[in-house]
Amino acid sequence: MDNIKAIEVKKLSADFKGGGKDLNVLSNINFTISKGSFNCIIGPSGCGKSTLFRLLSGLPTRDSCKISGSIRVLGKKPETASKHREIGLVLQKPTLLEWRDVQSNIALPLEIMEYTKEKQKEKVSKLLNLLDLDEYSEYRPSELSGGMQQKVSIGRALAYDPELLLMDEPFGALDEINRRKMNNEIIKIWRKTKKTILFITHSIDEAVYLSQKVMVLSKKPSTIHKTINIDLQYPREKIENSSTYFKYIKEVRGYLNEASY
Amino acid sequence: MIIQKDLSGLFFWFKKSNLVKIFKTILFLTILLLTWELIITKFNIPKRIIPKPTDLFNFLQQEFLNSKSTTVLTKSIFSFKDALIGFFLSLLVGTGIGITLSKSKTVDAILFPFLFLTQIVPVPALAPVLAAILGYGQTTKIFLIVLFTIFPIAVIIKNAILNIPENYTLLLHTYTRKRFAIFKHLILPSLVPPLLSIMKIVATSSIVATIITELPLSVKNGIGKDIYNSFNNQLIPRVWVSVIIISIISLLFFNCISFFEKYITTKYKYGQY
Amino acid sequence: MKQVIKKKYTYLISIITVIVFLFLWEISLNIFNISRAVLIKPTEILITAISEYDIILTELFYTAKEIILGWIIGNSLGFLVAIIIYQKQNIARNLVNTFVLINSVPLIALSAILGGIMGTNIDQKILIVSLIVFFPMLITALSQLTTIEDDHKDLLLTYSASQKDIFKKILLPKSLPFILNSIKVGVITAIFTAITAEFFGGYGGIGIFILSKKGLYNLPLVWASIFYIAIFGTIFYFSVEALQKKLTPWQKL
Repeated sequence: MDNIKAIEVKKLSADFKGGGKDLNVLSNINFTISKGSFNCIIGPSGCGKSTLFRLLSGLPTRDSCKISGSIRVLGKKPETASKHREIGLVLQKPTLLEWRDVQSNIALPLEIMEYTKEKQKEKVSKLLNLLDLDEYSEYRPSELSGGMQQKVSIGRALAYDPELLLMDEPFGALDEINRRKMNNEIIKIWRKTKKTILFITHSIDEAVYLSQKVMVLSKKPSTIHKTINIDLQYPREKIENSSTYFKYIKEVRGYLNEASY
Repeated sequence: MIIQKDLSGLFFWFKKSNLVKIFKTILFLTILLLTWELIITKFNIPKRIIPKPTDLFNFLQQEFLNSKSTTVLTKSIFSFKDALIGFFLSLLVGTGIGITLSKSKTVDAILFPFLFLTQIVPVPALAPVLAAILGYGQTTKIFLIVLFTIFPIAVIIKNAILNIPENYTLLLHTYTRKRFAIFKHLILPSLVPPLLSIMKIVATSSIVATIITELPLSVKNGIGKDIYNSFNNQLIPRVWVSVIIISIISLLFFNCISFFEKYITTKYKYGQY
Repeated sequence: MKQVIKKKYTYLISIITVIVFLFLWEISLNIFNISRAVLIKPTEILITAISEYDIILTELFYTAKEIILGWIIGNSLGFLVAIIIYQKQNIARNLVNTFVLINSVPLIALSAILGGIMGTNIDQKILIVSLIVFFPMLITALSQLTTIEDDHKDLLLTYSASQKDIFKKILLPKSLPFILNSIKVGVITAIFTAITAEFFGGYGGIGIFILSKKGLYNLPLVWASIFYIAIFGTIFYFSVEALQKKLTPWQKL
């Protein structure tokens, strides 16, 4: 068991300067994420979830954003980790390229990172297999449902085998049944690939269903209000109606309510 | 988040950055004119090929100090007037056609060949045959201007109506069965954005059409015909001045429409889903 | 399958409408006793078109050269200039506005000015057609190349994509439908520009032909010329549309 944490955040604060006002978005955030774990961040709307997401992914923020504290992804700065192809992103919208079919959409990062054609084919077919998308490999995005498109975008995120998967409310646009289906899919993928996953969500049910650890973010200026460890077995389809499950839901809901006022 | 409130209305012109822009443009134009003058004089380029700015000013002097009844300016305004009539008529009829096209695919299929023909048969070629039917007067000219500009309007309106999100239509249907009410409260407002965006294009096309049609129709009071005549009579400074005047009119018209568009879209959110 | 049937159905309706229209046109001239100086029958137009085909087509061929060459040059230059400019994002935005303003002016009037400078030969016609096709293409291409969806930008940043990658894999495919549409509309623009430019004088072409014959009130000949122009235009336009469908199969046209 090596000691490098997947994510290590210490005393992270983020301020936005603009229009004469200072906005303190994140304040003294501290948490660690171990490799191979599944974690969720949940919080009221308008808390700095997206800002935190952008900072962790190594994406540039607006110029007016001042950061203090440290973020380390696999021991490196997020931008470096990103350059070393260790971060995969799944955003709220699938954002597939409509002029490419499913397999070329998945292959997009591989093309840019200059993998050989054979390597690309190999990785893409492995992913299509993992995601049960084999028969859809030549479909265009416009021919797929929202849930399927998100599956493809997950495949694209996994194409270059990143250690860390950052997901920002990827299933928010789906209805309950399809959302649950996708939740089961992502758990299946996680257990097979053993990636580290940090999942941002609005839904208490989703947070409890998916993760080993739930971090509740308070409203602005956001801190980690509470970290809850979910000690349930996978797969959780069997126990989602059990009383232990509901106990966790109540717990998370309680802390979320506190964090929102 | 604080949103900077922009100065609006007349004060728009007195904002510092705009004054700087205007000053820069004037400076640029002056330098341009001086360079132009110098190059022509130095290389002795004859007036009939490229006139100097002084030639143009001389012509302007002659034209306006002789107090004739029709100058290049009055002719340009005359052409612009026709363009304006065509502009509004085209928007009106085009919208009507667009609405009709959106009603059923069959109607669309019936009208489509005729609309397509208005595009593919070039208006200058159509002018003489239309003049044989409708005469050589203003009616034919306006008719041709409308034919020239109508197709994009009809298409954009049709698409805008077909693209009204279904939930809005359903919502309105729960309030009323009266088709007129739905028309007034849903369809009309949703026509505003496409009309505003196509207006700019129609502004230019209507002026282009008025010039084009004046040639075969021999419209004596129009600037198009005037340019044609002066060109054939080698009155090149007159040609240049006419082109500049009608271009300025066109620019101003276009800017007015752009300004109007910006005003309406920021103040009212008609038809924005 | 349903969509294919619907498409064929609409084509059929369009064709039937045109035939009915031509039929009514033909008959109404007899019924209403309209003078031949006002309107002539479609059949007479067809007869004239067939009998005078050599004269008309020679002139049309001359104009077609102006149209096609001007269209090719204008579109290619518009696209090339857009590729050169788009990288300087800050200037590019302002330049788009300038080009829109230039395009708002009736550039067709420049025929007279260019005619004074270089005469009214075929090069002048090609130049004016190129100019008038150039600006809309430049504006379309430039505005497309300078915009990219935030999500796409973010994703490509995580792949450490180079500017060339972004251009090849995102900007170009995304702009393609708009660029092709501009090319298609350019066909219409090129046709009426060439004919109008010929009205200012020239050494040949169908515009000059019509203007001269028109003076003689030879209505059948003008109609026949229009007939051939329409056929040329339709073939040209739909060829570009077919190319459009082939290159952008993901777009619903």
